[in-house]
Amino acid sequence: MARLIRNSLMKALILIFFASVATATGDAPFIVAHKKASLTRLKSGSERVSVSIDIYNQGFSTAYDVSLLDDSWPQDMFDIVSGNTSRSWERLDAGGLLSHSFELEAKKQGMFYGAPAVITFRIPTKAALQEAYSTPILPLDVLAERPPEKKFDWAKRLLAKYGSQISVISIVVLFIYLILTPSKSSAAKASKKKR
Amino acid sequence: MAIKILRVFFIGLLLLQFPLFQVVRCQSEIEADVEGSELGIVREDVQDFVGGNFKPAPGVETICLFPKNSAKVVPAGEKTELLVGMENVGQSPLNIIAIEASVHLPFDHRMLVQNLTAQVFDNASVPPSTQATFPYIFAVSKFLQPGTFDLVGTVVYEINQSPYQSTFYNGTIEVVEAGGFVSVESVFLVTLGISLVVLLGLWIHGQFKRISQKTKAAPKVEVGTGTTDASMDEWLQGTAYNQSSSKSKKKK
Repeated sequence: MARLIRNSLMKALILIFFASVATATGDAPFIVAHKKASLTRLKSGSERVSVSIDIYNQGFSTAYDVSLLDDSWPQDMFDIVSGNTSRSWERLDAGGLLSHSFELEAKKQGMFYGAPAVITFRIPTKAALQEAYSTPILPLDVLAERPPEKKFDWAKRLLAKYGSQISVISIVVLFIYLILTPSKSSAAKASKKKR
Repeated sequence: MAIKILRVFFIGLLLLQFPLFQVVRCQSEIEADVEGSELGIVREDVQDFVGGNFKPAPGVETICLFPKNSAKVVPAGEKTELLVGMENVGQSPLNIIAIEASVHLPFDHRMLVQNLTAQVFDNASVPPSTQATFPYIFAVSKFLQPGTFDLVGTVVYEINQSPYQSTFYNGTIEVVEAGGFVSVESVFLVTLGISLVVLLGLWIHGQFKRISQKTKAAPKVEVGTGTTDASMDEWLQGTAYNQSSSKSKKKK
């Protein structure tokens, strides 16, 4: 009887331990923000920077008053073309995703090292505003001197990408064609034999 | 006699080679290919930290996320990105030194498949009571077989000049073959399949024709006996048989 009680007590303790370990990671939101910046050169020669920021909530509870602020683009180097560098949402549920993007036009030439964007949010258990940083971006070579593309570069690129597939398909099609269509010399030989 | 000698000679040669025979064994190759990318300038003392085994710091939480890739699909030979979220619950700022990862076999964690290039950070820090995200771009070897593998990712950081290390991911990834649907092998395989089906169809068609020809040819046999009439004509002239055969000729 005592042994039974001891066994059940052990099991209960183990259960409680595991339960506590599972909840030990907390029930707060965990904001993971992904910032991406890409350069596009327009025909007119000006360069545009498209910035997109994805905010994921990998935690276990909702984040309220999520506000994104990206001050890493100084006014003397970039002009805002479309969108806004800051945005706010009411809430971000656990497992949810928020996206924001904007476009800038580059004014000055040179290497640009961007800082991460700042995301602030509130959680019910704490009064202070919580902060989270996004991923940093790779250095951007703004308005770099690009060597002019040689005449048939685009053809070379297409060939490199699809060359093997095109050659294989052409070999197979040629082979099928050769088998299906009888040649003139063989037809003449057949008719001669019949005579 | 010569043939007998030759036979003995060849049998002897075969017997001699027996101890030299070796069964061809397959050796699983572990690729030493390492790919990845680096972000920024490298610290001088990074080599002391990368590769060492440190304990995780108590006030630090890590999380791993494959952006827009919940199935954790990794094309072999192509860049895959994952995000490492760090939360600094402690009181002092945290300096990230490097993120490194390695690929293992799923059923035996000690079998290392590939060590992925560590990404070192020069000036990455997480202030106290904040969360920060860091990217880690890696590429597994192009020749890695598609399948499930174990990826172990660790982040090395320091708090107050003492190094720590946390494992942010210790789970499975799906390695798939990079490349589109149309490839050299797929085109050949599809053509071979179609040709085999066509050949089968032709053979069945031939069989049908043969069977149908057999049933049609039976009545024709009787017509064949008509050709022997020519040899019988001379000595049958004037008889009743000759008259009936000439009638049948006229009909033709």
